[in-house]
Amino acid sequence: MIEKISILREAALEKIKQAASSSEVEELRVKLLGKKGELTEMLKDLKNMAIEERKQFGQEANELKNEITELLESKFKELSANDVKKSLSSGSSFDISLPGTQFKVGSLHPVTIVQKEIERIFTGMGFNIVDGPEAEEEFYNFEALNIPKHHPARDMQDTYWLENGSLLRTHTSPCQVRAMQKYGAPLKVIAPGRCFRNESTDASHENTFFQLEGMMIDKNVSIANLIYVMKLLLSEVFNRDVKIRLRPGFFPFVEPGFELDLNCMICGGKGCPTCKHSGWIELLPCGMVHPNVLRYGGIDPEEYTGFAFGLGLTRLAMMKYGISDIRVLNSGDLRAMEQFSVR
Amino acid sequence: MKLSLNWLKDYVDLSGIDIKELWYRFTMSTAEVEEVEFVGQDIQNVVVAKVLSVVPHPESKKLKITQVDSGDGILQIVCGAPNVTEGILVPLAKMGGSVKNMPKLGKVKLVGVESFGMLCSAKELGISDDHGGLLVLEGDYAPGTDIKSIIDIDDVIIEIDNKSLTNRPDLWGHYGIAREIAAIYGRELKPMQLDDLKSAEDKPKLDISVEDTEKCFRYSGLKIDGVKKLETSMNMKVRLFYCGMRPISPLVDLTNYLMLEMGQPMHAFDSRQVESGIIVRATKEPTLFKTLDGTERKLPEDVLLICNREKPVAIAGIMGGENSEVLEVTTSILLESANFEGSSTRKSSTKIGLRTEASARYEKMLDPNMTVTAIQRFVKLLKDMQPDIQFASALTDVYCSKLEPIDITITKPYIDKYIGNTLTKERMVDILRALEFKVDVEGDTFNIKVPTFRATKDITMKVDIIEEITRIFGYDNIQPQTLDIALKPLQYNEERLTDHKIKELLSERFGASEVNSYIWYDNTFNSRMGIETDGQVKVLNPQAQDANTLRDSMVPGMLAFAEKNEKSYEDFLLFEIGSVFRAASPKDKCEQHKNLCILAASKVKSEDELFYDLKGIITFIAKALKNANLDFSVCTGGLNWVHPMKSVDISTNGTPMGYISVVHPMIKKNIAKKLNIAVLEINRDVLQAIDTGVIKYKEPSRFPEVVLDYSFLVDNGVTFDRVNEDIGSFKSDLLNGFSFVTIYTGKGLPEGKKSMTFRFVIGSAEKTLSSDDINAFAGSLIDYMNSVGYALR
Repeated sequence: MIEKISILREAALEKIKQAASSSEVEELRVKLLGKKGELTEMLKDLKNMAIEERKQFGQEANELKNEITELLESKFKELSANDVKKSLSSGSSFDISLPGTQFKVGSLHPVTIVQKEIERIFTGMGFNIVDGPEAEEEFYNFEALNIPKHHPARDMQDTYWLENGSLLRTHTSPCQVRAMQKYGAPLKVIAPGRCFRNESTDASHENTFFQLEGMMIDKNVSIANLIYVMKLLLSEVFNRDVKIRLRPGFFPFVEPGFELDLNCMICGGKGCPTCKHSGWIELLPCGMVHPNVLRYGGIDPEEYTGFAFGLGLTRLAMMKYGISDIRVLNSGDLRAMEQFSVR
Repeated sequence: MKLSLNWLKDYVDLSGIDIKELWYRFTMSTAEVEEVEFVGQDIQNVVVAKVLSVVPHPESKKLKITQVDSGDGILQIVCGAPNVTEGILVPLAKMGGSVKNMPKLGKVKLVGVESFGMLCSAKELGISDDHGGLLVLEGDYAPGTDIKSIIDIDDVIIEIDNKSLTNRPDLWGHYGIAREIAAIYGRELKPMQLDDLKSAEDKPKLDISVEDTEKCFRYSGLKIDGVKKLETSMNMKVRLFYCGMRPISPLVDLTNYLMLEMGQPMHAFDSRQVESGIIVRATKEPTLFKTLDGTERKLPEDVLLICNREKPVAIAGIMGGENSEVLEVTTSILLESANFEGSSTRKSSTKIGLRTEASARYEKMLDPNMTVTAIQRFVKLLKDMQPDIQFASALTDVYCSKLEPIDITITKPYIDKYIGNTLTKERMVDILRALEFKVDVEGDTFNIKVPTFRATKDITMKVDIIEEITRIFGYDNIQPQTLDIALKPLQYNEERLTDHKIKELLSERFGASEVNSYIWYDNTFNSRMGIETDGQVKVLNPQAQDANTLRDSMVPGMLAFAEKNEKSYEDFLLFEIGSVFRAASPKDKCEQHKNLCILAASKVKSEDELFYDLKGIITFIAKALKNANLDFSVCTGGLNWVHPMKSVDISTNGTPMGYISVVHPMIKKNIAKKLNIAVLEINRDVLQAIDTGVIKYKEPSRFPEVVLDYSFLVDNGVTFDRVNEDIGSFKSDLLNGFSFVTIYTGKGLPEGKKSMTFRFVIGSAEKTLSSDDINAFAGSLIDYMNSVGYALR
């Protein structure tokens, strides 16, 4: 029996030595040590042996099993390392420069991008965002903003009237009174949205555009506060410290009313074509909320004061991206729109 | 509006003030200055010359050869002006000098004859459009006198944005502007020189009656006789010209001059046409009337007229009539200085389609107290031209609708609080008084009387007073102040958050592009495509008739974008969140809400694929935003772009939300034959209103789950929903869930069958499943499926 073992040993060692691939080694392992392997079969004979023989035979067989196992393992390691080496060196056609899997990135409308950005800034400063209807009541668009019938300001904003007596809001300012009525004072809100003016379109005029209305009401809100807040907000919007100036501007729903000019950021105020050589760019109308408007909003002007401002979102988006023709914004032209990949 | 600095200097001393700084401060305190132009600087070295002799040019019929006394020797000048005659005084541009559009004059030869300078027309001096001949200087000027010492050619012309003056009736003349400048710089405003009209006092009153006292507040008149042939003074002409008005005739020039000076429009009638008296009344019916520009105009009802006993002679506040115009032969005039109501003047002017310098001023609500002063000023200026005019009437002043005086009481602490800075009481009072407010100070309280020229509409309440103080003080001088505001939790605008989230998902995850469209239909496009809509909300005054209907669906607009982009793209996904408007009829108030519309278009994907894309996207959005499952059912809507079969209604918990549809082939073929299109339109508000609910957590089993895929043969006519529902009815304790994997409809299947593959996940919370357990489950599932008609494939 012992002889049988040594024959098996020699044959096994030889075969392991000859093995040329890791799969051959695996085959050998099954053939020798597997459930029906040669050595396993041999061990089955143990039960028929005498005790003394069984002891000796068992010991040798076990030693052989260990030896073969070890040899197989080291051979396997050697060959599989070879296999990997071989596969790595066998001139692969892998081209790292081919583009990655293409996932399409969509786009947001440029006004949406700017709107989100500004909403984020105002929300961070504790402003609520409110909305109002686009088909608006005459009352909110005009009367409640201290623009009575036949007021010239109604001409200034050529209005689309609806057959049902409503109108398409000419500005986001109706949201002022709606917000006051809904939330009362104190109040800090912005209202971005679409507005409409009945005028023919060209590169710089659109009948449909976006504005953002802002309003802040509390006890003791002053002109000095307005200046402070506007400067702070605009520094955030333009992401730099800005210089502003206020000059008189007439809007029926504020008193005093201001035109807020921004020191031209292109020339730094020295004068250039962008600022028409004045050093200033007319940016937004603002003012202290007119007592009549507060009253329409159900707020006592003797107790509360506040300021309001209007920002042209469409204009801001055009400034930001250098869009020179406003009409492209409502054109649905993908060649333009898809450039505004999100954010 | 254009202003002459020379004119302003009549009323306020500007010495020592930098002109650029002056207009900067004016912009910062009063109104926007659009342009400051230094005129006359291009006129140099022009002197008075006397024409000594004129002889014809030997070679030219048009030209003449003149010898002129330049004050500095005799010069030969060749001249082509028709009015060159011996003895006249004319402007001479000397060699080296310059005139309008001719920078350096030199010696020239004109058809062979040398000329040592140039005799000038008024146009060449830049002070008129008149190029009919030489400017003949009336007066006894010595040759060689600098022309600029005679005529105010040098001036600074300031243009102010009219829009920034809409609320300031007092700023529509030089005098009001001078008042502002005086207040800004703390200088004195000089009074206007007026005639006291003393010698008219004993003359008879004019017969003036105002019938419509709502449209005419005041009507002052004066009749003047003995007007001779007048000549408008050179400097007056230059001022008119620089301010944008054309000199017409001396009397008209004078009324215009007065209007530009005081802001008060005036009209001079030939008094022969108004002998019978003046009646101010509105038209009761449409009337034809010829204005003095020679145009016959149709006046509608309710337009205010100035009439004599028989007929209209002027449209009040807008323009005089041709029938009563002052002519060269006019020797007697009736001077009108009136105050008409603003908005009715504006309405009339709009209705007639005639806006004039006068109507533009009346629209602003002028000071009624100006009418008499204007007449006094007019007479003063007329007397300067012709001292011996005679008054043929007393000043007749019908002041029928008196302006209510406005008194405002305000306190210093209130002003300080509103401004947020502290100003001295003296500063406040000084500013108000400079603006001609009467201020009575009692401690910290100011009792203020508003001057009438500010009281017509501009200044009515406390905040108006604060504006006056702060704007003159200078907004730039206000120190910014931080503010304490009570902390208050934000109420986020959930709708806005939903919108932004939807937009992010669509663009970032699905590669869609956001577009913006108009909220009205393009009727032309719709009919070209065969799209029928039921928009009931109509625009009364659309830009174009085909844009008169507000959309009740966003799909037609999206389809227009599909057509537009089809040429450049073969596969695209567009979306927009926008308003739609619905009403029972155009007369009814409309309901409006926001919709989400997505359009999927492709030349590479089939329309079926596009449909499933949209269905997948909206399912994803509902899951991602609301953790909600949507319900889909057979489409019931009657929209004509909806495909009769390939469409589905979307709802959530029984609330309809919208639909998905392949675009109807009848419309698709009109848009683009090769472009497959599917659309989705849902009510954003319904999506927004879905209650997200609370996630119900279930402890995962500690034992492994087993995944089994089975394909079943299904009759072609049986829908997925049906199969899904049938599987849903199968009960087993082991079944943790099942899902759809794929559908196969190709070769190797029995006739009339399709194959649907589902994945079943089974497991137990108590043990690892044995193969017997798995086999038992599979057996019962397959038996069950057989029993409901689906054989295992």
